[in-house]
Amino acid sequence: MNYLFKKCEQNGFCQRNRYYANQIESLQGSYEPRYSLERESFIFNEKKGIFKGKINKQLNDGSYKDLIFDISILEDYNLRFQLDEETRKPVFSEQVNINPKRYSDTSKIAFKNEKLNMKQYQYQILDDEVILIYGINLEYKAIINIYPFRITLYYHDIKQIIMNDRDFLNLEHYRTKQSQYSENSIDVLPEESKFNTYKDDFKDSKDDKLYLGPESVAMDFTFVNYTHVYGIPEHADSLSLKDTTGGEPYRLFNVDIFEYETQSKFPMYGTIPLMIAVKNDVSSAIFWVNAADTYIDIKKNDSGDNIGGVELVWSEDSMDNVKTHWMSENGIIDVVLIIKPNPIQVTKAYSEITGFSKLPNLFSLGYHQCRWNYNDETDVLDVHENFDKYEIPYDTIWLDIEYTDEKRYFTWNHAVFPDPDNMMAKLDETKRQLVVIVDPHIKDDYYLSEKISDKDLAINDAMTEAAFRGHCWPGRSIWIDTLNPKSQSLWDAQFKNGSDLLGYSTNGHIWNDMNEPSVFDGPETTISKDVVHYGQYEHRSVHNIYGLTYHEATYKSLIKRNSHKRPFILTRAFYAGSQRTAAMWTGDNMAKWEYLKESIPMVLTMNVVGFPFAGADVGGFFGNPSKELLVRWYQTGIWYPFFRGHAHIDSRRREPWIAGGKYTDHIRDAIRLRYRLLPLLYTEFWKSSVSGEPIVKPLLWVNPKDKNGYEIDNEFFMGNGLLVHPVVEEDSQETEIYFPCDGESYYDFFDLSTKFDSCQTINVKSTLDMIPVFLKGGNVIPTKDRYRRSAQLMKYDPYTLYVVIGSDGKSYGQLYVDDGETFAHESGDWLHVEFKVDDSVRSINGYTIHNEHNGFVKSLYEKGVGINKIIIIGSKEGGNSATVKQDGKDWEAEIIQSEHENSFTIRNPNVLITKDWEIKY
Amino acid sequence: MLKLSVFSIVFILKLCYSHSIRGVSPENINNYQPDINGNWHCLSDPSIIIPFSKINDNYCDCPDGSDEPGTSACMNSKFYCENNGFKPHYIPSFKVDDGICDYDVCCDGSDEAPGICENRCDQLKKENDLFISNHNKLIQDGLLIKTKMIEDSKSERLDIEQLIIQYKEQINITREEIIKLEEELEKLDPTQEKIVENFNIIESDLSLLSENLLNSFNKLETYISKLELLENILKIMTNEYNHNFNDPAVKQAAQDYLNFAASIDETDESNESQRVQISSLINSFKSVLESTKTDIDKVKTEIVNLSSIKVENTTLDINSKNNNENSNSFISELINALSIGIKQSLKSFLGVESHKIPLEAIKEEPNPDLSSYNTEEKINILKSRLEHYESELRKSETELNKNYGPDDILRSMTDCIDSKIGNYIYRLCPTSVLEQINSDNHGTKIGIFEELVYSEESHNYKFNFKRGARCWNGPIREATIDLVCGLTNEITLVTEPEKCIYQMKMISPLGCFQIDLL
Repeated sequence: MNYLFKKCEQNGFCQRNRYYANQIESLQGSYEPRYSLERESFIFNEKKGIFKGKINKQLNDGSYKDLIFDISILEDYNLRFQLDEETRKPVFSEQVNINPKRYSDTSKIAFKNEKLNMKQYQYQILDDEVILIYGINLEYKAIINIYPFRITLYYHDIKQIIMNDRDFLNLEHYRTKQSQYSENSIDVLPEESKFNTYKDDFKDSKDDKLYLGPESVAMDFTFVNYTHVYGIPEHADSLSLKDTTGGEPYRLFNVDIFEYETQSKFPMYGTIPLMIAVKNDVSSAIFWVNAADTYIDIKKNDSGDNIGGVELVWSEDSMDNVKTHWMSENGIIDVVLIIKPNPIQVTKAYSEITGFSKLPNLFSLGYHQCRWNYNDETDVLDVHENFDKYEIPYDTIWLDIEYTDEKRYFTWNHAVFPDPDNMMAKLDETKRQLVVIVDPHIKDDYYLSEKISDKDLAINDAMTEAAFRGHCWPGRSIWIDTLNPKSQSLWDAQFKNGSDLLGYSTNGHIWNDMNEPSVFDGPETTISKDVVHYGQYEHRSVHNIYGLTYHEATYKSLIKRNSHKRPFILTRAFYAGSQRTAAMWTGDNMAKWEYLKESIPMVLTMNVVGFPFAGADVGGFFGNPSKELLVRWYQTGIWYPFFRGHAHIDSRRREPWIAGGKYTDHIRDAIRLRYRLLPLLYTEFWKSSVSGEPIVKPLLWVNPKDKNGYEIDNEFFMGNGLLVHPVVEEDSQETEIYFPCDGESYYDFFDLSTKFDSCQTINVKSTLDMIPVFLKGGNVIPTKDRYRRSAQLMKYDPYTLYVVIGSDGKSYGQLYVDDGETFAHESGDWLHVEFKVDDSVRSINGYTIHNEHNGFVKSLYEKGVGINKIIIIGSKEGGNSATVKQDGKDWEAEIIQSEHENSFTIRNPNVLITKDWEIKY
Repeated sequence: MLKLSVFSIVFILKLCYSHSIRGVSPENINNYQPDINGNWHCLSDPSIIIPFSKINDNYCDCPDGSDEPGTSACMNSKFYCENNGFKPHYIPSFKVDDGICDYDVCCDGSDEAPGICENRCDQLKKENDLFISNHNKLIQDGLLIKTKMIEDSKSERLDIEQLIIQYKEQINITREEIIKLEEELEKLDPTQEKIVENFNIIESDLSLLSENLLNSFNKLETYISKLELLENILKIMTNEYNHNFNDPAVKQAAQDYLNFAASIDETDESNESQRVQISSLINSFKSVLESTKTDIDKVKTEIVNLSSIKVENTTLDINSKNNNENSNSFISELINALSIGIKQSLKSFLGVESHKIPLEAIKEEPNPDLSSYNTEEKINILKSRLEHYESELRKSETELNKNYGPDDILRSMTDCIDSKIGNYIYRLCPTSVLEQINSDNHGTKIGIFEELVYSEESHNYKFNFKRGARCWNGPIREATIDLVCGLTNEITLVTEPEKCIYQMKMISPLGCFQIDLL
């Protein structure tokens, strides 16, 4: 598999930039940096938060190449830096129509809003530096060195990030081929490598034309006094990123990396170029807004600087630095630097720029049953009925590529699916949903490919300017160019009500796969970098963002189809911003224990970079899981924000009832637990949709002061109150659990009599029937205990609250409720309840923070939806009854003691969730 | 004091005025009476006592769920739907008050709060009555056909049993005749002739052997060239397939081929040299056979000379214990045994005994006229006749004991059944094979008949076909066919839940059962 993908040394721009960095490092102090600010060019607009000017790049003959920089202070006090060439007038040796500009629209697609609001700053110009000061309390400071060019960011006067700390800034300005190859070129610096500037040696991409020659951009960033960095998905690696010195850098290049390896820095299906550094009282991040092929080198704690060598200027105050080097094949330098008091706020700040994950349709938080393939209508309905027969809840059944008429998307193979409408109506009887796959490769032999070609909406070959043709599932195919705004109306027409694919159904949703794009006969399993998109930009400029434009086009089409229902879309390829409109999964994993284990850091990483709606294929896509592995995978999968079982066509059937006996029982228990926790999960999704907060959080995202948690990626929190440690080892009897150093007590969720103190590592029993889940002190967790066939059928069931008294005697929790399927919540039809508990006065209060008395929330009131069980954990023993107050009335509710001292239950307090209440116990 | 939902108020009212409790059947209503203290005991654990007012208060108190027969509070309780005008039914509590009208089990709509589900019992009863009468008619008609099939099978069985008796008789008669003739022959003692005759047998066997060997070698050569062709195809595929194609099957096949090629290369130089080796092997076999023939001729002559001299030399007497046995008869027996041995090993080597010959009735006259033959010839004719009878007997017995499913029912189902589904014709030959035939008339064997058995899961018969053709890069094909009652035989549904593991549905009179009458 590895032979299909380029290593850094085989990839022109990566080889060149690593070479460049090595040359500079080997010169140590004697290197004379190339880049300086041009003082005369400065334009300050402190009110609008903008500082512009020129940077001069010194060439071999002492002349300068002018570059344009643009520094802005974004709304949330993040500093954005952009750098482009001032002029660029290429000479093409061949007759070819490509855009000579460096591509600069990545941010327009990735960011939530095209126009960003700016914050004002104060500034000072000194002899050798410019100082910008900003922030509510002027807590931010940027010192911009004039020569050598460098930006140092301070937070509360403490150095956090240094940009171009090591002078690795490299913008390969345009030069002619002649100049590139000439002996005395003024353009090619002595520290530059000439490797693969106009050609590509890699066996599968020899045809890449590289019309514009070398045009890479690179920059280094040092996180000062940090030890740990996270993010930059998608990689099958640990949560905490590793030092890449001497090995492969982390690569960001969306590819169909089937049968990927674990613990690898190889690229995968998606890209979020956000790296977050965390320490106990502050957290910083780099958001590298570039959609081209990108590599990142990480160097940690470089002791070499302090032992015997010549110390570099910056190392005087830093023992623990994380140094990073970012390299992209082309485009502009566009980077946002974020510094916040803690990692949660960094995730939030990044999400403010690229958008929050939209509140999903409730069904999509339930269980998804997928397989390549359910063969026909009977098969689909059979699987559907079996869930009810075996009393296992589920919400969604999926159809992979085989439902189509020979892989022509938007058609059905009517021989096996004679009546899709009827099938979907049948699923709808119990509020079940259908997801069908639609990929961007369009078979080159039917009306749709003809329309795309006719309207010039395909990704084109640069020479012929006609649709590029490659191979994918249907054989010869063309690719729709969703960067082209005109593609939207054509796409809309395919999904409109009454169309062949979804008819008039309201329970059909879409799976966008293969949108890296995957091209079977293309280099590195994707499309050639020299094909041309809208605006005549080469594919290399937009590669990593193409997948996002594709699934966003689908989202827009589905909204047009039915503007009332929240669409659900699953995508495989993604970029920063994809979280706004889609869920993602980690692609084609394998039915092996190591992949189960790997899924947790992968999903956690997605959560910390603002894309929480993530999951891995439960059971493993390739191969056949043992019954034990399957059970453990379900017990893990229920914690993935996106929870789907999936299997390859060559694998044996493995729906939950196939394993049988105790295995099916354990799987049923796990899935039912997921449904019990839906009120919590939906509330967490709502929180995320207004704050970007992760759904599942690594320990350090909850408590960055506890350094023990910095490398733990087999344990996490769901919300703030549930500590989870899924079992990912074969034949496990006991599992080592780390209880974070937060001063709170933890209680076994399934056995409240067992209490654990914080800040310790303990072995707990973890036989196949057990999932290690712990309630953390200080939280109130809403659940619904009753099994129903699907998520929507639970909507009028009563709530059970778990109240876990915190170390300060208090507990807090929230509940968000709406109809779970429409956009009525956007016009106010939602309920937000806060639970506040004070054990010192033995009271629990429910406050309705937001309560719309029309529509759905009104129906909650009319149906009398309330709380009918409250389990209080970690309090002193309760009395015989509690006093309940609501709506000017009060009454008694019985208290049931448990057999152990940790908890008691308030029986049927019967308070409506739609109004304030108080219970004294 | 309890704050009650709109729901509960309705039930309390209902409880007060109608003396019925939601979700409780009339037969069971006596179990839901308060004791004199106004308390109530959980049904399967009377030690748990709760106030009667807690019944159906939407909170589960009894471990057996008995306190909440009319709500969804207890996971394990059952809800009684009266379904007035149709059949009453219990439904699991998770179907109660979930907003879905489960008409299939609760046609009166009582599983949901009043006003949500209409009462459809009348309509459903009508539909059900119609369904039942159609269903019963189908089963009754089907049973007539099925009964006829069973009868036909029975009579076919009787025919075979009859045949077996006849063969057995004939065998006994023939054996006796042979014994009689052999006794006559012993008196004639034509040693010399016997030897010659045995040698003739050996000779003819040898020529048969050589002929068959040659045939086999020719076949081998065809296989080799086919193998070469295949290897070549795989080689081209492995060298020329696009490495970027995301097709694990092709990649696996290429990898397997490379492994295969690597292991071959260690032992052999090339296909060409293999060929040369094999043809030289064939030639050497030919010459060996020729020289053996010559040798046997020589030996024959010598032995004939030897026996005609009638040597009584004791030094040549190999078996000194049996004085009354002369060496001639010893040699002749030896040769006889030899010839039978060769014959048998030849047969098994060539595999001629596995050919299936249809059963046929005895053609020969019971006592044919053999008077024109000499005694030896007579014995030979009778022996070959005996062999024929014995083989026919074996065939008949095999046929009799063959698995024709329950009631021997498939014995009379001799025709193959073709069903067209999608682009394929599925051909089911009941006790032999199941095939999938594509539009080019090319058939793929899905499986060989294994059994027809009653399945507890489907409460009907199912066919199992196993050991079909192997899928490319996949498992060996097999199929299970579930039967449902019908008047004709036809496969109506084919699914492939896993690659090359087929699941089919077939309508057939075989699937009609008395017990399914409603």
